Amino acid sequence: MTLQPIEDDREVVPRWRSYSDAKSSVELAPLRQAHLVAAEKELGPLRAQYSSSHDAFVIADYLGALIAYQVDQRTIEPVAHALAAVSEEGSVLWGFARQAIQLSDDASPDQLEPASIDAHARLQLRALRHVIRRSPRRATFHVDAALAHATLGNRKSANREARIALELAPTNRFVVRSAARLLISQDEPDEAAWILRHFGSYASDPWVLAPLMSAMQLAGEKPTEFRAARELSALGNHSAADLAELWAEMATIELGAGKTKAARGLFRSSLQNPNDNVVAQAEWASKAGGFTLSEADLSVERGYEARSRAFAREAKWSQSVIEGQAWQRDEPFSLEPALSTSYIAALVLEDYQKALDVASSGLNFHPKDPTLRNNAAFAAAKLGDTEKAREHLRHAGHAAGSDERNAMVATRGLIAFRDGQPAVGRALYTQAVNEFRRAGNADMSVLASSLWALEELRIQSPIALNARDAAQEDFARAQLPEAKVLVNRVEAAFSSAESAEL
Amino acid sequence: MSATDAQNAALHLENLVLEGGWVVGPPNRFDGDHTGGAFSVTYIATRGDGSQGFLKVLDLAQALASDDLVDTLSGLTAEFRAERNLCEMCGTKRLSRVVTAITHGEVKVPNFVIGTVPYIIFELATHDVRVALGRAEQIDTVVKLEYAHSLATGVRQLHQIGVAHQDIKPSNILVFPKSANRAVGKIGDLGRAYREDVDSPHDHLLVPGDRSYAPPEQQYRHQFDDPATRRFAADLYQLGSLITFMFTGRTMNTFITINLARHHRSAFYGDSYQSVIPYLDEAYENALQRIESELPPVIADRLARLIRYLCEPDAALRGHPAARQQPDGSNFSLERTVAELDLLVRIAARQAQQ
Repeated sequence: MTLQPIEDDREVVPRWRSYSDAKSSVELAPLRQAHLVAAEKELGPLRAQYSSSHDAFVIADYLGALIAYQVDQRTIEPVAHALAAVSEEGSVLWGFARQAIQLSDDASPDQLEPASIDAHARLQLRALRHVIRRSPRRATFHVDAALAHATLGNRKSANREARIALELAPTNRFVVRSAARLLISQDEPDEAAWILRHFGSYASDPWVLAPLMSAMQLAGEKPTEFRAARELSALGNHSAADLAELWAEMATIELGAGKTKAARGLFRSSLQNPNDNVVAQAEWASKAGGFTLSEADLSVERGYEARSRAFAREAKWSQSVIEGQAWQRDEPFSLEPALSTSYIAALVLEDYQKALDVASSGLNFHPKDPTLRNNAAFAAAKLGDTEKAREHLRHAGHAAGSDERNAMVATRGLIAFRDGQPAVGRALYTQAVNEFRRAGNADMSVLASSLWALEELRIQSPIALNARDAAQEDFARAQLPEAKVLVNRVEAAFSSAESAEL
Repeated sequence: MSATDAQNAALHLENLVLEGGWVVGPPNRFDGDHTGGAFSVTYIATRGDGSQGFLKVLDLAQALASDDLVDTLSGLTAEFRAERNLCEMCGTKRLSRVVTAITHGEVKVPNFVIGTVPYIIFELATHDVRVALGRAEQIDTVVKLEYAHSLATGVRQLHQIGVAHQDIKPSNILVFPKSANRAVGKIGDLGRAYREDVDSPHDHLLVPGDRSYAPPEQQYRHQFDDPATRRFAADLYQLGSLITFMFTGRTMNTFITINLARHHRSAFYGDSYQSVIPYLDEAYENALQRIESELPPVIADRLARLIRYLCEPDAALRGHPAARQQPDGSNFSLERTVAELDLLVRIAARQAQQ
């Protein structure tokens, strides 16, 4: 059986996207805005020359100055048209004019759907290697190379590239947050906290302080920066957008300390002008915090995680998986989207191929994660590839939690059934169900019993009824919506089998 | 014409004969051929032997319109004096690729309230480089490279005498008749120049020249402690930027601006120069890729490499890689750049002949 991720420890860890994806985001905006306006004494002469000249390079000079001064696009466009009119079609000046006319589109790069996450990462890496060979001192390219390596599961190379980026631009926010995120994804939050504390300007930058506090929480450290966070948010003269992640992390800490009212207030503040990470944090905390998110909150740009979680909570499984896949494309190195999406795709939607694909991508960077290996094994077994399923379980690392261990036992039961060894499978499923019951985990017990019943029914075993009864017995105490989905599925399968017999 | 203009001799010099027999022609309209500056008026002057000069006179009346007469007036005269002295020095040092002053002086025009007019007469160019690039039937790669070579030579000549131009832009590159069968360009307008040996009126300014052509460190309000990095590295950037302009119609600032996220552009970015460098770096790489694709194939690789080291966004890393490795000498030496451009001229010429 598949297992869903435990949801009790989400922190506001920074997103990590390629620089081209991240550069226009609020996370990379300056803390201080400048509002320089074009100087008339500089533009005036160029305008005068432009007005009295049909020389293409004179017009180009004026057009370039308008762009450099960031004047309004309405001023730029007529000059660009004038340049296009005096330039030969296809010439460099004509190209410049066309480019200037299209500037209002704000140069958003073409969003190409990659053939697969891995193929996209490999392509990226090839291009980055070329650029880095030519210009080895550009920090953002090393961060992007680290991301591509992480996506492909090359931890060593990812860490090496991140280290180089830190050496080149140790105080840059994009570099520091990305390096910290890489370490957090490797279960090294203490290292991440060290980097954020020593390289980032956390005392004055809420975009660095928030992940620092998150990393400290994940590392089990005391929230010693809470006071600094309060002061920065009160006295730092920062915008609501700049403080959103910090407020969300403060809210999370308050929620963990049982101060629900304070947490709600901070979450409310964080949602004034949130990014997708803040909305995901609020969605995660909404149940415990006793508040709900609005449609507008959930429609935040790149809010895949929040929407995937919200849809799952509402039992809108297909939409949850669609958002979950988008979440994984957005953060391919991250464990959480792989876990939750493979879980729902396999267990609820019975789309085992999708579940296997999603889990396999997640395994690139988390090859030993026992829960993800188990989800992949379950999907492979359901697809009939028991050899691959066993291999996944062989590569699984040590499962620390009893739920994970019992889920693996159930998956072994499935593999045995599919290998034509029902007695072995029965014994393993029985063991898993008993362990879940002993732990008082009715949800897991229902899921394991249902899956077992379906296997017994598949081989037309009389024991199928016992398994079904076990599932129905525990269902009264189950809370997860997917438990109902499975119980209904079992009932439908039995009805269908009975109809066939008749 | 205002009452002040009517009493301002600087606007009424036509037909006057200056010292040395220079006869002043009609004042220049702003026709794009020359730039005079905000506080000056320009004319064409002709001598009896038919030679012509570019006359630049100081328009003191404009200072009267300013809010702070004393400071403006003293600033204006200091700038004019500095430019005059510098032009004189360039002439003495025989800088072949810098527009030099032929003569200078003051003319007293009777019956005007503002009747004393300081002036400088420069050698007269055919056009500025923009007009030359746009008007010629066919400006080929060789000619563009010859202008680039002239320009780099001019900057090198200035640097060799301890002068940084600080305002290298298309309108300040003037084109002269061919010499030894090569197109000749010269750098004009030394009004914003820095001198190692003498204090200049613009030394305290963060952006001494036009901001739209200024290097990133100036755009992002950063001042390097080292005067060489502050002054000479800025010239390198503007040199590379202008070479880029000659081949693509865009300066490096235009390319970088287009490739930056809006909030990272200098007009909106209020954080430090150091913090923006990684973002500039990325925009710069994308810009270089585009520039290289637009350069003539025969020299694209070499010229892009040259532009790359001249326009490096981090001023501390600017300069020819070999110059930067020399234990002695300046990181910003242009010797190799001039030699490389000379080689490129030959390569392009050879290719054109085939």
